[in-house]
Amino acid sequence: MEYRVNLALPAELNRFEEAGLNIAKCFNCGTCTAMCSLTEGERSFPRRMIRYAQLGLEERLLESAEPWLCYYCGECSKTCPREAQPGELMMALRRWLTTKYDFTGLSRRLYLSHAWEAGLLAGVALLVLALFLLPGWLGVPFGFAAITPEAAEHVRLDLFAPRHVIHIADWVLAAFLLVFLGVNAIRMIYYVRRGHRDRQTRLSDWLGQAHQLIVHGVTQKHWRGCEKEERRRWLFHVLLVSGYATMFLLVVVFLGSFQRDDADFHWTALFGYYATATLMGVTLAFMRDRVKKRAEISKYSHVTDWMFLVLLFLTSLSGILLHLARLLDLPWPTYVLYVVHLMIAVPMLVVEVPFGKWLHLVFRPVSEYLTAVAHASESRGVQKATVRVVPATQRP
Amino acid sequence: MPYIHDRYDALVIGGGIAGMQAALDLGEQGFDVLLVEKGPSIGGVMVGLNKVFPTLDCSSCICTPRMAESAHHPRIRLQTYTEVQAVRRDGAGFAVELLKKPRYLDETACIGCGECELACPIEVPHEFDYGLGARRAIYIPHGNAIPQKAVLSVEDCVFCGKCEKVCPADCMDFTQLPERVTTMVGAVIVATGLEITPMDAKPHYGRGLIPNVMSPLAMERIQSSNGPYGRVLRPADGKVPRSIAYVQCAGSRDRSIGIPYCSRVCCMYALKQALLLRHYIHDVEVTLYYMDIRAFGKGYEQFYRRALAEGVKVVKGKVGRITELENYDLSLRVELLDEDQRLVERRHELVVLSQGLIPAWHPSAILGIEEADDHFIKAPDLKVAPSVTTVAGTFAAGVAAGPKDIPDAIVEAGDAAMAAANYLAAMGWNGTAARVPVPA
Amino acid sequence: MDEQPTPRPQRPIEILRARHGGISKELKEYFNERQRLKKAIRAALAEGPRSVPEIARACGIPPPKAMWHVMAMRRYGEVVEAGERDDYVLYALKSKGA
Ligand SMILES: Cc1cc2nc3c(=O)[nH]c(=O)nc-3n(C[C@H](O)[C@H](O)[C@H](O)COP(=O)(O)OP(=O)(O)OC[C@H]3O[C@@H](n4cnc5c(N)ncnc54)[C@H](O)[C@@H]3O)c2cc1C
Ligand code: SF4
Ligand code: SF4
Repeated sequence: MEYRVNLALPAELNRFEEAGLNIAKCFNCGTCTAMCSLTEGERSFPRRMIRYAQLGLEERLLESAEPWLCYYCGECSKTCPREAQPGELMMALRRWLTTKYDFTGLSRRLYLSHAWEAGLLAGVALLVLALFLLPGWLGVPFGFAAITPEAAEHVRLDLFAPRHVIHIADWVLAAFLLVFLGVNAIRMIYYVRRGHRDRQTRLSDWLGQAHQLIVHGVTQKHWRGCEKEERRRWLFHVLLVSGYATMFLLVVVFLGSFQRDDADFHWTALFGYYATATLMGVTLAFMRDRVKKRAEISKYSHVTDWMFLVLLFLTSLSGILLHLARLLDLPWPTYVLYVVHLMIAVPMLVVEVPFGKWLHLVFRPVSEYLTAVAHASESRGVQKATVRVVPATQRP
Repeated sequence: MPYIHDRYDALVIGGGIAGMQAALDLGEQGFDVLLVEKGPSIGGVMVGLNKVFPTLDCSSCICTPRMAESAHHPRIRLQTYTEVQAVRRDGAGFAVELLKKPRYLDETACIGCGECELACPIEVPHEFDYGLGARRAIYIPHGNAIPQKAVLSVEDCVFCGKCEKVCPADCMDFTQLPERVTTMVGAVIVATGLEITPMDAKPHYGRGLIPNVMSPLAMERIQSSNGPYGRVLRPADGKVPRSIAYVQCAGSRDRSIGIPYCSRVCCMYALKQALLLRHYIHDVEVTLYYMDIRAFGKGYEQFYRRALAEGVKVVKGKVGRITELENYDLSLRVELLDEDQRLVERRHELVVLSQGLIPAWHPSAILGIEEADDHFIKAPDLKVAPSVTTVAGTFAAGVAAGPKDIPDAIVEAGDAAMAAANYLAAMGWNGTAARVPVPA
Repeated sequence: MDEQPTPRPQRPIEILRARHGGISKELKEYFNERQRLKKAIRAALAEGPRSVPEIARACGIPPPKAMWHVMAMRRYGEVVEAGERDDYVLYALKSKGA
């Protein structure tokens, strides 16, 4: 197998972190790997990843699923004898890999340029605004043009933003996300499999382990293998996922019953409250961690980390305010907040989810899935020629 | 009671191999030396070692002659169980204030018979055996101690008075108090030596609470014929260990514990202990987990080859965690860097942490000597004057000046003695002809 | 060397005890436990040679503790080695063997 050496790789990776990482500091002792509670057997990290980075083995990194198995408890960075911050390298690798899996090149732009990030988010937000303003000029009764005298008196969301129209838009959005997330996942699987060509797998392994995608996607349960202090972050993260999933289902699948057009209370709101509470609570807690630099992971924050939390928080905040305005039967605030809510949520969904930090929601379960498939094929006892390097000192 | 004079040519602080050598070299040149040791015996770390690399000479056998020489040299005044309290520049020399700790017996009268120790009813952990063995409240420091005089550790005493009753020389003196003594010296040599990295420095190596995770100095004692167990057993349950691991760089080359430097002797003492274990225990498996083996000295590489040839195993990879298992065995988590980089948990019956060397004493407060970044005594002209410190007239030798092995400590002690002699000559120090005894 | 014998005062141990405020509570507890364990170990060994884990079981203490106390007795000649069994050394009371 031939690999091209990219001498600029360490410098390239430095563009994806905020900690002032010095990859050359590492003297390859292996402490970090031995400290990591999640590394096992031949799927060992982070030392091997650092070694690849030092040697400029870009392809090898591209073919590694290991960065996604790491939840950044930071034990490696705390105990590294060279203070080489292996944990932060893993984080940088996750960002870098995200840009590598993405075929559009947009992700790379977003990660490396604040201007691109701000511009794209603002652009989509303006587009959303335009959708509520423009139809009026064209004479289509949608958005602000659809506010009849009656709708100006009492909240009539079905006139302002008819449910069936919004629902179709939701489905389009969902399809858009599905395509991009799917393509990213497929590209990731392709690269990782390319790196393990010598390992035979069977279709039955792939099918038999498919449930891992759901299990790990929902629970991220391997995180619990980390040090005890990580339990809190794991729990918060599960809450966040549950809140996010609830909201997503309400909006994309159950919009019919979730978006009410009057000032009445409806039982679906209970789910909405749960989602809002968890989303706001957890994002606030995580933002506090980052300000206080509480854990290893919160010490160094990339813009994308902040963007992730801030957008989620604002989406929930505008959502709950919108809900209140509707219950209080305040028509204009309701309409304005509706637009504001979408001006935050839609850019987040269109820009950050398929091209940004959000992608980890796909890559993490996929890496667990790939690992489980490899395990399954090995435990079937596939005859794999194990080449073992015997150190000179151990030869008989 | 012996006298301390009011004037000496040089003060040597620390009676380890470096301090003894420096004192002897100065004494042989005709200088009068005051050799101050804080412990009840001289000999330092070396007298407690089993054998020395790379020659495998018996350590105490080559150390005790030096100790006896230092104690009986006509120009060396040995003052054990004494600490240096203050050093002040005074004219051409230094005014030195010493604190003599009470042994609670008349040192000149004690004949070292050990009857008091046999009579004493209480056993406590013995510092000389790093806690593994026992001593009594009153005790002779150890079989090779010089001076061979008893010392009473009052913190451990149950005040029964039996020692006084049995002492044939009738030398017990329970009324002794700490004594301050002052004297003048022309130059000072600091040879206060080493401590090893604390056993709890790395939390993931058991915080010093796992009995079968041992310090290398304790292993030296266990291997010694006069050691605490009389043979090699593991401390947790007295089993003959069949599989022993050494964790290299356990307390060195690690910024996370503030010790970034290489301690220079751990690779060699680990190889030495491992090789000897192969001799002491039939069929024992000994494995060194290492980052790289640093066998840099004369005959050291050959020693490394010999250890391998005699069945010592070496595995490349730094141990991350040590976990104690139910039966007191240990599990070591390590990435096998030489074998397809697998992460494994390896089981061993006994683990030795190859701890690093740190300075035993920080002389900056008392002598005004600067420390280097590594906290050892700084040599501003390291390349050409390794034993010269930042304060004129003070010199450093042995591990006090930086991690080193015994041959290097001896060489450096000779250098410090020579530098001190040159300094005294240059200062026109008028010798000690005029000295008068001060009652100590 | 310059050594001159000086008159040595003879005083009883009580001066020392008074100066140090008597025996500390911890030391007293330690001493009592040590006496108790010595007795228990002697009793265990009276039945014949035992290994450290066996002594620990007989005395109801953890093996690391038993190890230290047996070794302390060995150091002062009260206990001697009496053979080996399965990687463990057997210890016996000295009076028995001698
Ligand atoms: C486990 C182990 C095994 C080793 N094996 C070998 C070997 O096989 N071969 C080899 O060449 N080297 C070996 N070494 C290294 C060797 O021990 C040292 O090089 C040597 O002991 C250094 O001698 P020293 O006189 O500088 O210090 P030390 O031996 O530490 O002596 C210092 C003396 O100063 C005294 N002191 C300290 N502070 C004060 C104070 N404030 N006032 C008065 N006195 C004080 C101490 O009590 C001590 O007596 C080994 C080291 C270790 C840890
Ligand atoms: S990152 Fe640190 S702990 Fe990991 S191999 Fe490199 S030096 Fe060792
Ligand atoms: S008086 Fe103290 S030192 Fe003397 S025998 Fe009693 S306990 Fe031991």
